[in-house]
Amino acid sequence: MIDAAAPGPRSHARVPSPTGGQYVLLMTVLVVTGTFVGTLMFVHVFGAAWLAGIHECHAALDPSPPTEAAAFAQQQRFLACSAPLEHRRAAAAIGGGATVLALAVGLTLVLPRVFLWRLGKLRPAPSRWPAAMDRIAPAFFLTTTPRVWLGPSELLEPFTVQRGRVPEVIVPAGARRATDDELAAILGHEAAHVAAGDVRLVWLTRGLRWALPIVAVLPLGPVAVWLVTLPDLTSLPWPALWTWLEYVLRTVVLLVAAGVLAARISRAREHEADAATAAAGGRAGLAALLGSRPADVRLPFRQRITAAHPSYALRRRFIDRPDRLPPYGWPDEMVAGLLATTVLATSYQVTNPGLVGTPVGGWVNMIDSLLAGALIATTCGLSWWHRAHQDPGKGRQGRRPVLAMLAGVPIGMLTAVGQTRGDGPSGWYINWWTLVTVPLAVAAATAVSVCLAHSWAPRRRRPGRFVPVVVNTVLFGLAFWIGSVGAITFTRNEPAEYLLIATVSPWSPFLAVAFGVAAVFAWRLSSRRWLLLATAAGAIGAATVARLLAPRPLIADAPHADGWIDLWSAAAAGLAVVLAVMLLTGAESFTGALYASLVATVGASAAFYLHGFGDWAFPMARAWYVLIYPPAVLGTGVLAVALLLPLLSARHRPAVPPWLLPPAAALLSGAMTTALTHVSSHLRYTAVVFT
Amino acid sequence: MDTVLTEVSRQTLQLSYPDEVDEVEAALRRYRGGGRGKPKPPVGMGVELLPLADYVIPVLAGLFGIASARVAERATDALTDRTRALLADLRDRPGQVAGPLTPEQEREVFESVVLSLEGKVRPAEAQRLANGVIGALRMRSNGR
Repeated sequence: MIDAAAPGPRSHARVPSPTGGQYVLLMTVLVVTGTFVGTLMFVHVFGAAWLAGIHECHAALDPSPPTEAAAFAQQQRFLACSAPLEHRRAAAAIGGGATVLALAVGLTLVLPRVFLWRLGKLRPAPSRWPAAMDRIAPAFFLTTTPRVWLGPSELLEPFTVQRGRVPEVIVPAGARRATDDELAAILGHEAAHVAAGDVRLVWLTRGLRWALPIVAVLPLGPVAVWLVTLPDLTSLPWPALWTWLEYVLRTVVLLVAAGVLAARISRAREHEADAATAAAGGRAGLAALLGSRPADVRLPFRQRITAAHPSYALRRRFIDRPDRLPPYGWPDEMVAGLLATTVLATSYQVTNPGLVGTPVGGWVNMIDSLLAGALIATTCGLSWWHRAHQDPGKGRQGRRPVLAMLAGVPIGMLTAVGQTRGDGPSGWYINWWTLVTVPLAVAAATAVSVCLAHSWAPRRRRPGRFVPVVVNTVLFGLAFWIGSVGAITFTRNEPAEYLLIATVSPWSPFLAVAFGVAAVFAWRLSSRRWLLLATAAGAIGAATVARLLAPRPLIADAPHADGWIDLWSAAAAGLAVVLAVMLLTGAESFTGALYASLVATVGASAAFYLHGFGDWAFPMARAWYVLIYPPAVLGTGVLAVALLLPLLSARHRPAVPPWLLPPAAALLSGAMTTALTHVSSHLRYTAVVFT
Repeated sequence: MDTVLTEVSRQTLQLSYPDEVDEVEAALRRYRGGGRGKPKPPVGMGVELLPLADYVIPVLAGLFGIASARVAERATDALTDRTRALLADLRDRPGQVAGPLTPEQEREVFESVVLSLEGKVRPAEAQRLANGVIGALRMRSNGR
């Protein structure tokens, strides 16, 4: 029997749930899609004036500026000229999102009332129901006890609704014969929904799913008028028509995906409500209710994916599970990857024009990426880290989540409504390289996140929310940023220049700093520290010896080649540590390898720096590069190598003698440094970093 | 035929579970419509809790021979041909014309109802409902 006064676990109502993040993700996607509708309306109404203004700003520019400084100044002038125009476009986009949100909030207030009106008149509940609720509500930390009603005769299942401040639980007439245990389970389940905030979240999500199509139809109005008034149908502009058809298709796909995800979240929340009820003492009543149901009939596919409740059999199995975590499978991970990527590609419609001419105007990609990263963090990130807490030994390789991300992210890039070419000014966010680089970067971040989770979780008494969300937001934010900006670099450069990417990209200093913080985090989580430090020392020694013994490259037109080889060799020393650890110990010591690799890279870089200390005009400025760029290159390398984590065997490995790690790292480090020196004449260099 | 079902169902529940008499009309609509158009609340328990009327109506429909073959077979397993004929009379010509049920026939009906409700409601509820059905049939045979 559920009773707040009874002793028992109280944590059931306080454990943060990844399904809450899924709601946030779903709502963000729907609102962000509204911003694209706002952009389309802007193009309809102000498109011609906007284009004329942009042309005017262009006309004032010198087509061939004499110096780089002049080109930069000209770029600033253009931004200052176009900023007011772009801000109006951003305001229209924000207006679209705000309209969807406002309409949804309105519908959230109206829809429950309409539902109750259609259902019929509520009746006073039998006296034992409110009395039972008075006992149950405090067990779920509810400050306001829900009001209990007897539902109309048409109602067959209990539910909760909120019209004002007080939640209302409507119970069908069939519950009059329920035993005390069953009644406690019914009211406890509904109280758990109220405690989790489901009542507001579900109706708001439903409101958004209604609001988006209503708003999304608006841009089609002028198109319909234009089509009707066309004098000659033989000269139909098919490309324009196809664009609008594409817009409609993308919107429909998004709404279908939103509906399927909403149903999945709803089913997971039912499991959570069952789990909370069982944990609060209502297990017997719940088992009796679920056990008295007839055997489940295999439903048609459509009904299975849109059902708001799991099958009775699943629910019965779930309340007996010790971990009580809601099922979270590859479809959830794939859809989270898909929708977060949709947000990445669509929020650009607001951030790009909205931040033009502002101090953060150059960091649009970073802001979009952080938003997408935060969405992954609050959904998958929380789930992976909590699951690792429940079962630290299972799923360390993260094969399933990595594959789910590899599948979901490119679909998100392709199907995002914001990718429709009908909005004219913003164009496509993606190029074909993005379909490779973003999924790979996100998949690598997934592998790293899962690995970190398994090192972090055993040291925690109970799973929190702060660390998983912060770590994953930074990790996935960087992954989305590296993937999307990296794609541009791939398009603009030849393969011989790819080694430069990590040093000429805007994310380099951020990646280096994040890697430094990750190394401190990993140090605190790691065991076998002396062994890993010895491995780093081996890599530093081998790289330094190989570098000092090998002849210095002298390459015409590349006076800084020597500095570049130093930089890459230092990064290679760190990468050698990671590779040695992964090859010899599997995924188990990957977390420790993070700080050991940074020690190796910074140590090797410092050795090279000290060796040539007297040669530079600005040694202190150069020290900055030594500290920042090699870790950035190492970070990119570690992300690439992390993709191998899912491929490592999950089976028990034969124990490797620990003393093998330092020589293995030294061997790999020396080999990579020698190889870099050997191919130095075939590599490309730039003066950017060393001037 | 709906009139017969409505009247006898109401009388059955009036005699056994008076609180649930008001649910008969909605249960009859569900019985006729096969459960289509049921309101599906978005934040609910997902467990249907049917009022007793939803169980009683199919059983009575079986007894009176106005149900589908499957339901009728289950409900009339324990009935002899003579009792079936008497129940058909009660359905078509209620009152003194059909005549009262004998104690044996009432026992047959009792067993038939309990059998039909097996696994759907608790045994005590099934027995109470069976007594309610017999009471309702007595009233019908008396023309009340």
